[in-house]
Amino acid sequence: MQQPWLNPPGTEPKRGVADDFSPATATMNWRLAGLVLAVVWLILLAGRSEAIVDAAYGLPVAPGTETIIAVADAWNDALSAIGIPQALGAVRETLATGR
Amino acid sequence: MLFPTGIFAIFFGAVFLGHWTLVRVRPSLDRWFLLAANLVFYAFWSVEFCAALIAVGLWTWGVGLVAARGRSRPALWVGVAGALGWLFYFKYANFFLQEIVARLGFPAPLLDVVLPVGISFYCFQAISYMVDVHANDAEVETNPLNVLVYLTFFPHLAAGPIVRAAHFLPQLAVPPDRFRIPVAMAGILILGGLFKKMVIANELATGIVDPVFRDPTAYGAWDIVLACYGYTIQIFCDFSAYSDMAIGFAALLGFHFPKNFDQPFRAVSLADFWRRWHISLSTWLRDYLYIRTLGGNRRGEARTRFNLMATMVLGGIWHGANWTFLLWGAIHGAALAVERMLGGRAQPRTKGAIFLRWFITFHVVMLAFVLFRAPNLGIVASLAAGLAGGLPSEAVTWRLTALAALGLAIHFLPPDLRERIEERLRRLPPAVLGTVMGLALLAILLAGPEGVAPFIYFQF
Repeated sequence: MQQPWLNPPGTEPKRGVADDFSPATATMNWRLAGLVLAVVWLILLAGRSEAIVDAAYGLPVAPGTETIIAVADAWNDALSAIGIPQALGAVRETLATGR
Repeated sequence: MLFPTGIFAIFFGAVFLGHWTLVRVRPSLDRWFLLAANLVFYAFWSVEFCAALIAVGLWTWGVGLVAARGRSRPALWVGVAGALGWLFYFKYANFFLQEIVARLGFPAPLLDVVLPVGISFYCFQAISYMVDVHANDAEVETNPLNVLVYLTFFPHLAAGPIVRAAHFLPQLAVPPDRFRIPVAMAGILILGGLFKKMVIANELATGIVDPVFRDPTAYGAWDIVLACYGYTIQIFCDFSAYSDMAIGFAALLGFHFPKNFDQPFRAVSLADFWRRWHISLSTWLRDYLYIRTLGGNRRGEARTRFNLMATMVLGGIWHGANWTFLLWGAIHGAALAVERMLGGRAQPRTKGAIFLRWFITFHVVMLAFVLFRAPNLGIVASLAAGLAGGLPSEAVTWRLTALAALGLAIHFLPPDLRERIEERLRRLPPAVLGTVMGLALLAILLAGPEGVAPFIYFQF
């Protein structure tokens, strides 16, 4: 591995040696990249609903805090109704084996 | 604001949307937006130090203008001294007062100094900018906004990598390419970093390293052995995780950072180790301290050995005002000098020789890291005494041992593994790629302990 921009000025990069500045192959435009991030976000929102409720209750008292707590609670209740937090809790317990 | 937290996820989502929207509709405002985002990121630690950060940035820009292209060497010296003075005050004022002034019998008040997060990293970047524009190795920047964005760019602000001006500033000269965002590469780096930090580093820290280094007298010999190996793995998984995530987040915003770690624990010599560990710092020390200031290897063998030792000791002290850091640097400096004397730069040929060289190198690095981790030399003595003590080893578990082994094993994966995975992921539609990444992220969060410990290098 070489990083040609760290070489002394005027030094040519070595031939045949990979560097980490090679053009990345799997690129996409910003809209598609945004779509990828949005899906990641949705999965996080679903998988961390209990943590979101905890975070909402930890917010300082301010206008809008109650609404945020109500939305977080409703979101977590909806997911609990279909068993997602429970299933993830079981996975967490399994992954904690030996801790 | 730590990377693996919900607040950062919200922050980054907003920056991603704002940045790419501005790149598309009003590119001229994008750098102002990035600067604002950088300051918001930093303000989560300290609003007051945001002003100081801007002051250092403007100082750097001003000195660059005056000292550019070989002009005004005194201005360069004043500029570098200013940045170093800023760094020294926060990092070494109390050490100087307590260890030197007080021992000489003078009154030495204990100053209430809080170390600003990332101070070493942005000061080193500031110095490299001033020196490089003076030496004409980088173009002088006439627009202060660009220098401010360069120094404060949030992915590298808290713990590097140290990005050179010649590498980063040209990236600000044109708007990033919104049609070629390396999402798969960034995703692999961020998820890989999260795995190293959340699953390996955090668990080793809480499970064995922190308790043993806090009170070694309460632990048995095998606990101490695992804590020493465990810390070596922990610091790699912690620090390289931050670097990988920083590179990934910068890539999602269209910027390239240099690679900072290259499987360092597969090194077969100390020189090889320093070409793979914290590459942006080791090349910084090489270029600005070892070569430019001390003269490198051009003044004879004895002077070269002295220069190696001086560079490593100063590199050690850079981590903080503590004798343990000084000794850590001295061990590396001495080992590099001995290695040079023994002709250790020649590559070993047989498998046995390769293994022997790897074994010695890894253990020198590991033993030096024990000094690096210990809060004082008394703890080091307790660790050594504990190895011979008869206490039972009850903290060692198969899980912690397996995690430490895993942290070492990842060094022996193919060096182009990321590219191979990237090649597979490129065929997936964006929604599927997002699902794969989201599920992987969730699995990592479930596998690690609750909560996020700060990254080790934030304290430097």
